[in-house]
Amino acid sequence: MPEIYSGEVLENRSAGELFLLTVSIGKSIDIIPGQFFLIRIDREDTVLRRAFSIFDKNDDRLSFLYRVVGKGTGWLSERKTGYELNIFGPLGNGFSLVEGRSLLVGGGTGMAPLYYLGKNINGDIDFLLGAQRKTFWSEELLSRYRDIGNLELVTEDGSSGKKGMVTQYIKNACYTKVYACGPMEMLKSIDIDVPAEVSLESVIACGFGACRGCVVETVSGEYKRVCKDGPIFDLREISI
Amino acid sequence: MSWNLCGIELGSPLVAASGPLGWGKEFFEIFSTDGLGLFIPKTVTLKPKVGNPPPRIVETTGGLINSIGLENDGVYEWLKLEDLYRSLDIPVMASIAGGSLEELSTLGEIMEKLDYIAGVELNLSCPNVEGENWSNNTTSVLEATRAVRKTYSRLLFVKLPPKDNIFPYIEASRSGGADGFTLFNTLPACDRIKGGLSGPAIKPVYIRLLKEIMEEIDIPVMASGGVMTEKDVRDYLYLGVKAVQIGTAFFKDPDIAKRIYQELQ
Repeated sequence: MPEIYSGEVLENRSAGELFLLTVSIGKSIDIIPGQFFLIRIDREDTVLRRAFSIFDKNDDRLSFLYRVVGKGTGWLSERKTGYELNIFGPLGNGFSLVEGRSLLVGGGTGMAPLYYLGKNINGDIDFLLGAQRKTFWSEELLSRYRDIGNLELVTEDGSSGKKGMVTQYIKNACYTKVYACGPMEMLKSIDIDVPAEVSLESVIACGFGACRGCVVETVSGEYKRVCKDGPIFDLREISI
Repeated sequence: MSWNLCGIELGSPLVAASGPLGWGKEFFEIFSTDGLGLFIPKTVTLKPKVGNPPPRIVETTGGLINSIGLENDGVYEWLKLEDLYRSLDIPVMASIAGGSLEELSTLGEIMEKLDYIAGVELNLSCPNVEGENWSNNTTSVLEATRAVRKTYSRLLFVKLPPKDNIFPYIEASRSGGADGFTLFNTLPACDRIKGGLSGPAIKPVYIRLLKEIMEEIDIPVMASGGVMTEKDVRDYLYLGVKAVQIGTAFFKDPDIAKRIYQELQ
């Protein structure tokens, strides 16, 4: 059951073009990979919390990986060690884990939920991470992914790894399952035969399925709530 | 402290506004009624409504535009929540909306039979449903109110949109049988999406509109618009309203009612 926690900032530092935030919530809780938390932005001119999927968890410490895109994440990036963040979660359904060989595809900040997912998968893992350029990632961050799986990089400008879009390099190899997170356009362009789960992004208001603000249209034409029915969906639900 | 809303005893002047918390099922699985005096579930229509296509919400400076479009599974699904509403330790007021006078009368008839409902809030002002805005002229306000009054005998509040010169609308609704008013629904706005603006940005506008009304006529009012803090609640109570609704603030703090209530003590 989700709860509101006071999360003491232990570290909040840049990692390439991203920020890595770690907070202590005072107790260890169960979190399914792919679930997210809503962090309150303590500014009077914002009314919505910001949603971040779990990047890592160790005992009572939760980590989030984010990019500064607006005033909410800008404010968050300025929080110093010791600041008490108001954190609500865990929310959403989470990935369903299978044994075997898995491909974890992340576009941009979509890499965030894949680390904790990878840590929890029992089997071989291939990471395929894409970004605009090499400076998006820090070496330290990438080494964490390398520690738990094979890592392949794709950059749009070719400054690191292969050149192009991450989805070009998804091979129909012998994977049991493919997990992906990134922009909607990227997810929709995934074309594979194996079962795939994708994590969707949306502006989230309530976070627990009540307000119906975050819906996405599925292929059947139905509206589903990203915060409650997702954020993890079967690829076939969002793309033909 | 005890508060009275036209004969209904409220343990707190804070009301969960219709909308943000849905029908309450998900919210009350996680949170209690602490701090709340009344719960108004999201507006119910006779038939299910799929709502508007996404994107449905956009954050603005100090506010939020929403265009949900009254998505709900219809009154017959809503009736299945009887056990939940009976189990809450605060009264529940049903919010209803309809596209025709007949639909409104039918909803009134259904609500009349429910002894666990303390009253009805007739939503005549959703800014996000095409062709269903009853509050564009006084005649339709009168007729819509009368349609519900015809079949519903207990406490009837009418939720109106923010607008200047609203007195004729209030008068029309009163002559149609309204007991009180929820003032106001969200403010029509546009920023990437067209919808209703809520949040702290609208409060000064609503205070001004409400001040003029409260100085002029003596009617039971629930204020609604931009409440984020205890001070906001006091500002509205100072105008003489019976209760104060909280909506958008639940997104920032799902336990906001508990905190504001403690601060009010």
